[in-house]
Amino acid sequence: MSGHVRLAALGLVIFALALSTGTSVLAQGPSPQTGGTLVYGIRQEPSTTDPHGSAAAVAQRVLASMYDSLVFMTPRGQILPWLAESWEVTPDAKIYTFKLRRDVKFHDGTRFNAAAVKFNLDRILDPATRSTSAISALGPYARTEVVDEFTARVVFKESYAPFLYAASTAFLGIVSPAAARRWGVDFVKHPTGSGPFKFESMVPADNITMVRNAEYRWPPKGFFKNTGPAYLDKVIVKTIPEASTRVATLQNGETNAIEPVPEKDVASLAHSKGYRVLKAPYPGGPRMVFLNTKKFPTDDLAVRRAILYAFNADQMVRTLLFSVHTAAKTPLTPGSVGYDKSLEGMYSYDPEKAKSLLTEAGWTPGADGIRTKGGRRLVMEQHIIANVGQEGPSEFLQGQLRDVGIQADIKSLARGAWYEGINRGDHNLVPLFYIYGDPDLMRGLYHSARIPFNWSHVSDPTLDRDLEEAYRSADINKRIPIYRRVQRRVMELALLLPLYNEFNLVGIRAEVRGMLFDPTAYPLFYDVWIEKK
Amino acid sequence: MHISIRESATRNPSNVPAIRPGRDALRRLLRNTGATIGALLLLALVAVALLAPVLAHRDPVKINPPDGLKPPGKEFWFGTDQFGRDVYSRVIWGARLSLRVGVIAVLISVGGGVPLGLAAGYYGGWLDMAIMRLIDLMLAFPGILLALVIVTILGPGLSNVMLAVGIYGIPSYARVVRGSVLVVRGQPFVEAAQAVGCPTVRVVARHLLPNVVAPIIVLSSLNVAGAILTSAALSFLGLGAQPPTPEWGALLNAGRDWVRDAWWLTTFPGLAIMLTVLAINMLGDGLRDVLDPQLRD
Amino acid sequence: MAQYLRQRITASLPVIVGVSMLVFLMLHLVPGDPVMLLLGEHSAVDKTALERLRATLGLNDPLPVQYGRFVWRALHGDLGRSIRLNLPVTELVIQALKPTASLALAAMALAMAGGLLLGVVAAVHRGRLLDNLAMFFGLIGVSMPSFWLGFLLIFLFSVRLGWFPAIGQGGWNRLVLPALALSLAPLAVLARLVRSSMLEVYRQPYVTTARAKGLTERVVVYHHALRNALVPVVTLVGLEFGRLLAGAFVIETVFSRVGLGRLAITGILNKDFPVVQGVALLVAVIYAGINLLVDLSYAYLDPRVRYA
Repeated sequence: MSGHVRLAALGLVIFALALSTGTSVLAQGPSPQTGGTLVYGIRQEPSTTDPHGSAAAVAQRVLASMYDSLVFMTPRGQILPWLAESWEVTPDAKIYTFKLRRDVKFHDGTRFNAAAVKFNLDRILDPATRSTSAISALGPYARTEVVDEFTARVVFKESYAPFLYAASTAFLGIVSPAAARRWGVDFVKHPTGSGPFKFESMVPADNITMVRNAEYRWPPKGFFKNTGPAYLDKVIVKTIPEASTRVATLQNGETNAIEPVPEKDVASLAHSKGYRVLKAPYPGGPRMVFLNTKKFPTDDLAVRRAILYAFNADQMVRTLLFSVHTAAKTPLTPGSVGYDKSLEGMYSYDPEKAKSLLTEAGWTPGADGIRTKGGRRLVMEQHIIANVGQEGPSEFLQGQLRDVGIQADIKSLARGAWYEGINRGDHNLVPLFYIYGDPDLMRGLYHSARIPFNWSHVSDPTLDRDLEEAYRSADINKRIPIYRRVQRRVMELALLLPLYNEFNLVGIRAEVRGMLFDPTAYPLFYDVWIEKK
Repeated sequence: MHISIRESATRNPSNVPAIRPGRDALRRLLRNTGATIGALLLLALVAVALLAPVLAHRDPVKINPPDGLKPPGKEFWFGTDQFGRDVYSRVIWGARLSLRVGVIAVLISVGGGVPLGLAAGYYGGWLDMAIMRLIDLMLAFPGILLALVIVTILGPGLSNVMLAVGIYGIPSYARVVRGSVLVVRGQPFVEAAQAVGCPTVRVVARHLLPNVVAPIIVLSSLNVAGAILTSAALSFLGLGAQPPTPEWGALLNAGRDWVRDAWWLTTFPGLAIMLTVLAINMLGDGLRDVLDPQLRD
Repeated sequence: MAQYLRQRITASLPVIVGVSMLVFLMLHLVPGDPVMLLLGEHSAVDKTALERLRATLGLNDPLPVQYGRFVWRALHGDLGRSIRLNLPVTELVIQALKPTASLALAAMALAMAGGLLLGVVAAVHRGRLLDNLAMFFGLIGVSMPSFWLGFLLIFLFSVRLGWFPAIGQGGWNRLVLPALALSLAPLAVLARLVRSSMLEVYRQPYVTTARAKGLTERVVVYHHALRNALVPVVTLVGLEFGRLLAGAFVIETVFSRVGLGRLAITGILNKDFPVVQGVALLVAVIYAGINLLVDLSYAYLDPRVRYA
């Protein structure tokens, strides 16, 4: 593999993570015991067992257990061999040649080989698979060539540097071609991969049950402690939407791990005997609110800047989030590639400055405390999704903006209505977050071609130019300075209000050991074992 | 309640003259303890709603994070929520909103259901069939889902909740009213009155009122409460009153993750709802006891 | 009797069809695109992939065509596949039916037992303290929001005491807490109805006759009065049971139970047409069945009622 592309692949995603708790590969202590069941309670049900059909990130927990990928990415951004033992990439990043392992078998006994890789990548393009995220991950895919039984060559129509990152995600997990052919559209009821766990049963909206794959011998090299079959007998992923109930099940033993732990319960759980809370930071964008530059009154730069000065992120994190997460100040999270620390001080909490900015721009305070300009009141709309936990920060923001004379009404909508609304640009403020391993994320958010998914509806030639330049380059060292420029401009234009950098919070009973996290902060069950008393 | 055999043998419900709710009824009402308590309680609640600006000494909407999640005490009588807002003030202000939701929703139900039931019962024939089929349709549709669909279509917020809950309640009234109309129409004296040349409408109306008022009152009393609770259920899905509106259902929902750790967030709005429901029901029971001629001694 | 049954069944068909049409229309009025909703708001969107998916699902066809397709398939027992889960709707609905029915039955059983008890006690002791207490107790149940009650029950009986599991379905011990939470509202309504119904009946001549015959009060109450008082009660029980079928989603969510309510709500919020229509159809059919049973029970309870 050529020198600087390897560097690029390595450096493409570098997360300088501080995993605050959680066992590491080199942990000392008792040796793993085989046996036991992990009952993992989650908030939202995984919508499908088909990696290529899934879009919901929450399905990762199940998919990563049942399917393997060509390569594995560590939280530190290193790409490790997995089903592919080695690979070569052409300098233009258009052709990837993978040499595959020869000893891999799917759960149905069939063999993994280059033909399987071809089948899988082509399957994603097949309309019958109903692929949405997987197709995006494939990028400018042209075809796969079967060079010999264990060598597959993936060809792209144009340069696609992020492919190794994409190939490590569960969306490009490898399914058994025999099973896919056999079951067709019913594959979701008979999911078959090569992963450390096999599908056993599923009750929609309730649980997905998996059992150990006794043949498993091909984990990613050098990341996990284990090299053979998983320690756990069984993994049951249970859907428990109500937060209090989820915590209750951890306490009465109906589950032995839950995700996420509500922020308010983290401290008490972490300090309780017999329980622990694991934290892993989500990479990519923080929880943030996009400000619509094309709709009154957020079309006024002064108003947008005032919003940023009026918001006390630190206080919100302390009071609403119990200091479990950290206040965000920039468009990327601290662990992400291209994070620019120097931007942190750009907007500090300064309500007086917010007020003076507004007054200077002609917004005078009205009788009820809300400012007016030219007969129009400073009223804006926050569009949030009902009942997914966005109410807290929105009400907090609403309260703080009121203090400087801005009325930020909250519209809490069902997902469908919400999505329609923001696609039309009906919003002034919309909270979102993005988990992504590459700063190219920002092209998706701030490039004018991406409107309306460019939720601030910004059309800035400087931004467009910089984002395109960064996308084309395969050299991470060239890209990072460009992304720094991009972030600075984004903050100058006040396109977003960063809220907080979020951690994935997993509550476990102390006897659950060995839980590691993948780069996107999702838990991995392969190395988990239950310590019996 | 024992009636002599002779009385029961000779007593014919249709002989009972129509009631004109007046001083007689009022006096009877006052004698009924349950109704009196209910009425007083309700008056108190209405007073609280009207006097909210005076009774609630803190801003129900302004956030004050440093004071967050304080338990009930001398400073904050009902404690504070996550944003430091005074729960007491919010509950007081919420009285207006929740009472309004209940009343308007029921008015919509009555306004829609009673005419439908009257038309169906009085005119009979294909109109009756058509209306009854429509009613059956609406009843076959799970009610809360109907309300949900309406709110999802119209958008969130208290006004649409009132509309949705109001529409959801129409079928029950229509059925009840229709039933009463049918009972009255079937009485021999209606035919007799017709034979004499008395306008049927007047006869029916005169005897309809006492028969129909009681069930409507009973239904309404439960429905006002039901409206408030349905609004709470819609708030459970986040589609009810929008923040920071302190409607009781929304308050309950806001506190739902805190039932164990900050019990005051749900307890006080919950108690407020309970008291309101209790008051309305007691009054309703009393009214029914008084106005229903068949229950008079 | 057979003719009556046939009549009833034919009469309920238009209602069922009507419900399904109504649901179909209303669902299309709900804002949102089911395909977009599949994605989740975070994913990069490939417009062509979306369009293709929409076309495959037939979502671009005119409404009458879509509805016609649904009816045609339904008549062949095929309720389509959930847009979101890509699983057959029939399976989803059947899987949700059993726990929902168990819960509804358990809740109604509790409500009936409690309601009958309270209502009879109140009627027999009308005007006195016991009457007021019984009604008061019932009212408490009706005015408590179900999720509040649910959380309290979980916290007390599941976490603190450990007597019952908090979540899931299957087995009577998972039914206790949610059924309890669900039963209080219908219990209150039933209690009041039983009370007023019995008071009605008490004034009837045949009760006086029974007393005159020298029968004990107990026989009078239970054998004569109650039986006839049950007619409106049975109507209400039928109504409430029907409501519980698809309306228990709050309890289902709090106790993490699979149920028709949750299935329907998720379907509505995600514009998953096939699922919502499947649930609505099933519920309408069950409703018609319940109404029929209720009407038939009248014949048993009230000798004056006869179906030729």
